[in-house]
Amino acid sequence: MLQNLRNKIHGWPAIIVLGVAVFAMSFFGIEGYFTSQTETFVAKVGKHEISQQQFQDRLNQLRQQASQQLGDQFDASVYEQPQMKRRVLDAMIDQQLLQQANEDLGLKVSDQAVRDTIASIPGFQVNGQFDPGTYRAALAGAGRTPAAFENDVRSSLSTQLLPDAIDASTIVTDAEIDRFLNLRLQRRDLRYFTLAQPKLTDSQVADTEIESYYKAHQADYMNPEQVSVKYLEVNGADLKLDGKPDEAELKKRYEDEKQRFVQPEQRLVSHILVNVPKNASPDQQKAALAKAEKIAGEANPENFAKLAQQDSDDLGSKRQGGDLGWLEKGVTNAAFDDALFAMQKGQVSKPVLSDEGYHVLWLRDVRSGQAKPFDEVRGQLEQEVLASERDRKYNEVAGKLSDKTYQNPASLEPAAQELGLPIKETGLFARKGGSGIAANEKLLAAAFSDDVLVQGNNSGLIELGPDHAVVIHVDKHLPAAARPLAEVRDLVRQKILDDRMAAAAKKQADALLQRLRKGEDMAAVAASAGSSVQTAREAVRVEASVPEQVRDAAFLMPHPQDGKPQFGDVALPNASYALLAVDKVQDADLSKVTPEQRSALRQSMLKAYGNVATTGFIDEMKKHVEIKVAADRM
Amino acid sequence: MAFDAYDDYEQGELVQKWLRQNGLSIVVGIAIGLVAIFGWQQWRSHQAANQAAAADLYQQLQTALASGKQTQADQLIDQLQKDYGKSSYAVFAVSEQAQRDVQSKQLDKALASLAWAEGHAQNPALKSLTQLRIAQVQLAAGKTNDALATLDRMQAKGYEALAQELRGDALVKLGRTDDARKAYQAAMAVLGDDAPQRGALQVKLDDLAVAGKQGA
Repeated sequence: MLQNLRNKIHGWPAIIVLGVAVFAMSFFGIEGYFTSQTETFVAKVGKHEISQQQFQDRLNQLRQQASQQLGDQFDASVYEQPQMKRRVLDAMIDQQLLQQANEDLGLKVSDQAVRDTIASIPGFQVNGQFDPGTYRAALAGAGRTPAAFENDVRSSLSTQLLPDAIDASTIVTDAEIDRFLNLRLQRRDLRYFTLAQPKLTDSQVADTEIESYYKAHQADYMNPEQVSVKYLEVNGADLKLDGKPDEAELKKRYEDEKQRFVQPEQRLVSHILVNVPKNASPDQQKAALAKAEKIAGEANPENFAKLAQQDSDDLGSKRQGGDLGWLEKGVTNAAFDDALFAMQKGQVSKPVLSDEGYHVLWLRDVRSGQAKPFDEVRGQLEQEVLASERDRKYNEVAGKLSDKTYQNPASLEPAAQELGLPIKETGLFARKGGSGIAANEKLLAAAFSDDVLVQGNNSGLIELGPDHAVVIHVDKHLPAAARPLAEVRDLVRQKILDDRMAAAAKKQADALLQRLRKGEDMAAVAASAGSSVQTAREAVRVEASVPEQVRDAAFLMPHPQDGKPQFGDVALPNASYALLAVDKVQDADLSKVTPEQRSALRQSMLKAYGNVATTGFIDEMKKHVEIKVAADRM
Repeated sequence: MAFDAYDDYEQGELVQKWLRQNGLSIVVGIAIGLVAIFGWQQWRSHQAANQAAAADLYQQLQTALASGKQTQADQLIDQLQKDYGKSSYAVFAVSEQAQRDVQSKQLDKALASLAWAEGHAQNPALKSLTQLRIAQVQLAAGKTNDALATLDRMQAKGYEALAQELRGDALVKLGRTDDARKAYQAAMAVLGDDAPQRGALQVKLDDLAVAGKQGA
């Protein structure tokens, strides 16, 4: 076959065909050799990937917010739980779907909306008004450009476009509001009477009965599974350090890290700005320069503040005579900075060009950088040295502990001898925790884990807090066991009596209910049971005068039919019963609902309906967009 | 390869002949391709400009409505309907108009607006949402059977919670309690666990209780 091929491949058409093939093979598919094929996304929504980095950033952001809001009650481990991570990821997926919905629907953030949002941020306002100077300064301070910031604003607004549009057009009709109110404020006419707890005729409980009940309900009389552990503990605070750092070491550290104790040089400066618009013509630029030069020529320390008030285009500083306060190097833009730090005290500069325009500067004062003397920071340095020494020592001991206990997984002894640590013990504790270190969640998880409890191995290093860790080994293990009958005999006996009482009460109530349903007069039935009928006309769901259980039961009963009341019975606490009749059901008295209440209700219904509609829209999209979640990369 | 049977000159002739026959098609093909690419780009940028303009009008509408300028709002809605009828913004703006009509108890006007919105909604999910709203207004206007028919028209199943609740309301009105109960139960099954209207929905369901089956 190859010979055939060789015979036929000559002449230039064959060369062209070969050439095309070679060309195609060398350039297409070649990227496969250079880009790795491993997928790294946490989730993929359609063609858009949510990277691990983005996901981590969002988690960190939420964690920070929660930590600020909750303070001491904040529990960082919540954000390690898979369910929590999944919830965060789902929210990110929804946001991505909303962005894609914008594309499908052709929704865009208008420039006006971006402007309005930026103008409404308090940090960019002076006296409640947006101030461009403050805006630029604030952005420069954060090292950001307006364009990038506007982009961020745009994208954060974009996820609200669809929800807002749906909310704004959500409809709640008066009929729906009426229906809600009619049910919520429905009025029912009730009669009811309560029964006394029945007297038990037979309070004898035979031993055999106790035994058989105990056997039948073994699960109710159990001691939980318990363990006790031996453990080795490393606590940074208890570690003995090798003496205090000596003077020479501290001095050396001081010299090495001197710049930490130095305040940077600061310069007190005023300026006059001659604005040059962004797209100024050469003529405009020349005019601005001429004006700036004229000001620079006239200005001296005496008249500078006055000139600034007259001529400066910097609205922020104009009124203060151009005062910009004490500035450090690197706060303003490069050209301004260079000029400022090249000046002598008291000097007025030539015009300096920045992106805002020409500045004339007056350097009023200089605060040179000062180093704090060694004696002043000696204490601080010593503390730092000790703390880092303690850290180092802790890490060393903890590391060794981890190694040794891993090498000899069956016992803590070798590690204890090697490190000179005492083996400590806890008392017995169950899964829900004990006292001391046995209250720690991580320790509980480890103690009841397969590796430690079943295999009998040492645990890994369990961090209980900063610079505090233990390694545990299970000492005693008591499986869940039935409590002996002797111990629980009284409990069982009481339970049997309670059950008898409840059954008797139910039987009595059911019998009375049958009589009511047959049409006997309620007052007579009540009297025969030693009770009397109470009535509640037009009771509402929150009627305070009616016992809670009776009220709730009354509103779960069917409407009366053909003028005949509905009867029911309901268990009350303490094994007693109530019997009740619903005589009439009426809609709410809508005339009592104020227009304000109505409008407040409309608002909350709009919000709730709008939310469900937005969720519905997203759900609908999920059916058409492929969503992949890589849970293992979460 | 029969091509080998010819010598170089003949081969050249063949190629030239082929080019003479097909040259025009090739040139025309390339030209069409270029026009298509250029046109596509033009269309895209036109589309983007259109979207931006519609977004701007919609934003102006929101501002006008927030400050109570009804006349200006009406003009903006007209303009959106006329010039950007295919934009989702027009659909949203007109639905918003319907919402205000509902509040001022002009249900017929609201239905007319929503009918326009339904006809112009390009996106199926948006169309279904509009149909849901039509059914709401129809039910409020006493056109119960129309409302049920509109709900049957809805394609998207994403709004099942709202649609089934509304269906239940309509069926209660028709006295079809058993069907209504089923609809409410279906709504309950799809409504999110933390949705604030769960309580209200449960009350609707409880109110349909029948003897021997307390609380349905």
